[in-house]
Amino acid sequence: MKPPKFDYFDPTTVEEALDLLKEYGEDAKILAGGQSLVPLLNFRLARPQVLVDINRIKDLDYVRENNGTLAIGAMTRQRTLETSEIIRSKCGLLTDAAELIGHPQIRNRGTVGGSLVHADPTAELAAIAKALDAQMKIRSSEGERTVAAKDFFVTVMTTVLEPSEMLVEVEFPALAPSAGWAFEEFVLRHGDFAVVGVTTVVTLDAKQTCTELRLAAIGVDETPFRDPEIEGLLQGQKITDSLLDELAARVSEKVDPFTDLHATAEQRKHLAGVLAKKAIKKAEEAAILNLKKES
Amino acid sequence: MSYGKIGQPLGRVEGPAKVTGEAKYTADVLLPGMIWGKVLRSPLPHAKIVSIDTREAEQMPGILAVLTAKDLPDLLIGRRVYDMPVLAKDQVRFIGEKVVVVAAEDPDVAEDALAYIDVEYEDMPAVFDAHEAMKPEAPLLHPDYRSYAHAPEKFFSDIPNVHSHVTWELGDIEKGFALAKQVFEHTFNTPAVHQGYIEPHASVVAIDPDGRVNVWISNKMPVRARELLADVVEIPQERIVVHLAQIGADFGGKGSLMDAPLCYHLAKRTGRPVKMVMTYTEELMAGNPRHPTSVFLRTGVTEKGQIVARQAKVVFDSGAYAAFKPVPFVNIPGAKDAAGVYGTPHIRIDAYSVYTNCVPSGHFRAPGDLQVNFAVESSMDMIAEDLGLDRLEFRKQNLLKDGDWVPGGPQLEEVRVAETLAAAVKASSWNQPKSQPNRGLGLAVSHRLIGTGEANTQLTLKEDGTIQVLTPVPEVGTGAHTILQQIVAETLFLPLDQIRVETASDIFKTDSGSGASRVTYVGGQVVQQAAGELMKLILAVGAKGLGCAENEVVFEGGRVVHSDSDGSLSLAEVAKIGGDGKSALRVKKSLNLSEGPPVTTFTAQVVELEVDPETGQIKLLDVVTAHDVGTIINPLGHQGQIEGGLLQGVGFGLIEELRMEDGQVSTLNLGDYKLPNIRDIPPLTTVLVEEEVGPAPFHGKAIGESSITPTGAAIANAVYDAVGVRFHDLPITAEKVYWALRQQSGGKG
Ligand SMILES: Cc1cc2nc3c(=O)[nH]c(=O)nc-3n(C[C@H](O)[C@H](O)[C@H](O)COP(=O)(O)OP(=O)(O)OC[C@H]3O[C@@H](n4cnc5c(N)ncnc54)[C@H](O)[C@@H]3O)c2cc1C
Repeated sequence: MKPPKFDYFDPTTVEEALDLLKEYGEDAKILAGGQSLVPLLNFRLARPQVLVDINRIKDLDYVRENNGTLAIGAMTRQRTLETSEIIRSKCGLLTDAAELIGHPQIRNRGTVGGSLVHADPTAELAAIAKALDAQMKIRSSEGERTVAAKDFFVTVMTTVLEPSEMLVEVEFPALAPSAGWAFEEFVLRHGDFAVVGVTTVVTLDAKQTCTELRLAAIGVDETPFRDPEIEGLLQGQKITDSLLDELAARVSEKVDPFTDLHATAEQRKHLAGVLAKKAIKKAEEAAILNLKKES
Repeated sequence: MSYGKIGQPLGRVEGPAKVTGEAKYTADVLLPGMIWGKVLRSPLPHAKIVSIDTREAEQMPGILAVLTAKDLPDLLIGRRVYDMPVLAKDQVRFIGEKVVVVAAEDPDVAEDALAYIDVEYEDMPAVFDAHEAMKPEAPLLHPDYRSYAHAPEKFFSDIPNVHSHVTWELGDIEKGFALAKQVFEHTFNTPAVHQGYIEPHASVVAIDPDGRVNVWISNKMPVRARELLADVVEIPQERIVVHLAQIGADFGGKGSLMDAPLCYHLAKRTGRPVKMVMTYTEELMAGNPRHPTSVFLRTGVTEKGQIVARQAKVVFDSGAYAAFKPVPFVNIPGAKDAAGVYGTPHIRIDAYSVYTNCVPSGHFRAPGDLQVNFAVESSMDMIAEDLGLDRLEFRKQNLLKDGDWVPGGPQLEEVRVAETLAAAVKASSWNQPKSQPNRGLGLAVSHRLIGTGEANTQLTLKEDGTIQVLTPVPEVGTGAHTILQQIVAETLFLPLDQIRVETASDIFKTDSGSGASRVTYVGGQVVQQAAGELMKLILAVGAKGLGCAENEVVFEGGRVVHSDSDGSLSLAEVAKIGGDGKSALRVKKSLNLSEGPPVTTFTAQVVELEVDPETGQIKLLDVVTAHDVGTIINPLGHQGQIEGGLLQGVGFGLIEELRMEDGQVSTLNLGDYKLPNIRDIPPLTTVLVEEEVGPAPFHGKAIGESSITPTGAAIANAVYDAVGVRFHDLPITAEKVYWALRQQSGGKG
């Protein structure tokens, strides 16, 4: 199917785009990579009157390192996550996870900002943003505000963004050189949206005791799941199988998933625990390797 | 033998047009004044239509026509039996059945108008399972089915809702079971799966002022389509011209008229060309998917492990109409392979095609073969285990041999199943010790007889010296046109680019079209014979032109040469001289093969996989597919058929299912309906067991419907080997594996 009719604008500056958003409000939609919006249009699940295509705004596509953080422009293609050297060295989790987003064709078009704003409950980037406490930089013609990832995602495909606002940048903290990370997913076929996914970052001290665990799960709630109590379970501990079993049980218990065509709520609960365990193990192994490299 | 053009790995003749976007499909046809049709479909599985109010929709701006059954001739339609209305008349029988059609200049306007049509229904009791439908208390969907045109009287049944009951027998089944020491009974089920072609069904109809009806349609049997359309819209066939556009794959699903009759009626009503293109959601709710099937097997085995009797009851869920089944007995041919590749002296197979209030089913690559092979090959493993026999040895001991009969088929010659099976085993890690826990190996073997039917062609020597090959078989994506080109080039000793294959349907009266692994065999022979005759004509005319006798000329280097002098003529010169004063030399030929050859083709597959016991996820580690092949005409296309079919087999085994609840399909887009994609292709080894013994031109064999068949069973057997869980239902999804493992471990985990 083809999309319903719409008016089309292609501003070349952020200011121009923001003026259009102000003018058309609820009737307008930003078109970024189009990898989620265009299917919605084709299926008639969205019928905006106006599309504001921001692909011609050159200065939204960048990756910058600012003392200890990584700032990524909203129009940066998902493919860049895989190819950028700065990203690989400062936040390799993004590099590794990008491969899990659809297929190369989709990542060549799909953008970092688009994925975050679209807020699919199984978006990998949303999970990483939440796990790493990323900061979202948002602009409108009235001004600018910054929202923490934990406050950004409201529910399925809904964020705190107002119709007149645009996400312009997301800022991820750089990962400690000794940290290890992993993103584990359960998919029904290659390249699919995950049924359930878990991402984690494990930091160890020289004695291989866990000093910090970050963990977020997707496909188990309306927005990425994260729980300080669960993350606290490994704090100051050596990671053992029995601890991981306990943690997995807690994850399964705490998540509140839905049943759909692709999995029952019960299976999702189970998968969340299993994947949490697998992810932490993998991250721990990576962290140990990184520790060895450091010393 | 060595050949010139045969055996070369060639890209497709239509390939460049397809990859550059030049190729025109039916949905691309744009005509001046063209308008769009959209249908309103039934939301109920079985209901009486009390009333239809279209007034509001008719008043809407931009709406050019609104038609209901009342506006159409009171006729039914079908590929064989005519049992399906063009628009539902008094009742609907499945969710998705067409009830009203609307035309507008803008497809969105037509679509929007559908919401303003008011249909009042009265629910009728419905039945969604073929076995339920066969019970005495089941609602009867078609009480008058015996009266339908082309209903196969010989196969009528007294069982409720069974519209065709076909039996195949060999030997005496009672005697067979009397010989058996042990008798095994197993039942297996498989769901509806969609063909997954990229191009959804599309039709365009434009009626000329002189009454000529131009049709563009995604249909692989255009000659038959013209015949069927003439019947259902009540005009003579001669007035219909079927124009052949590219077809964006078929896999068996594109043999019906689909929306073409509606386009005709709308075109007639409005005086405008009309286009209808199904959305993929419509495809998934009302296409013609593979039949959901249940297979019951009863197997008698002697003490020594010899299979002496096989009884099979195969129940095909036909859905609400049998209209998509093309064969005269209106049943599914694959059922006849319920004894598999095993020489069984006593066989009785009963195939029932049953009406239910589900989506009407149709043909899909190797129709029935996959369902039945999953059952047969799973049961082979189960029986071997029960008898304490090795599953490979048990198979080997029972394999078909030269001189064996197969149900519904010939007495076989050149049986090479043992070699094929041995080749598959050899190329796999079958004989290595089990490497790791949760890994397993499974194997399955199948065979497929080559298809019969009618093929036509017309070959013309053009004035520019090229050979035009006209065929009524459209290129559905199998590479058939490339193969026809190769066969003609080989026969005439000409370069490939001097042969132009084009489609034309209106110069042929009847033709079987593309399907049943038939095209290279029957279509190949007809062009080969025509090319031979054309060469005789060329030599005769050439001799005349050179002023010598026919036996004094030879064809050499693309020229007709007088062997005694230096005189020669190019093909263009021969064409200009012409035959019998006509401007071109032409051979039109038809070939009808009703009996198949005694040679079949075998496939053996070994699957190695790993099951993640914590998630149930299955990872295919290695697949070996071994094929018993003759001369391979185009190795590139041949391998493409093997890989494409195998991937569809993987889908059937692991993820594909048109999920239905009370007749309502819930997987209504290609995000929810999971087709395997390119990254799901497992590491694959192909083994070709070659010998030049095939029945197709240059001793070729069929390949199109081979590799798809055993994959599901091989996967199921490998899963059992890996984790000890036997699945009787496909697909074997991760969730099913997970729950089964949990049950196995007593509910913990
Ligand atoms: C086959 C397929 C598989 C996929 N698999 C995955 C997967 O596994 N994981 C995954 O995470 N995603 C997957 N995707 C989605 C993909 O990642 C999309 O690219 C992403 O969701 C949206 O990004 P986009 O740039 O394409 O945004 P668009 O589709 O252009 O826009 C999406 C939404 O965000 C809004 N928007 C976009 N940019 C901004 C902005 N800067 N400010 C404000 N609003 C904005 C738009 O208005 C729209 O509402 C898949 C897509 C396809 C087609």
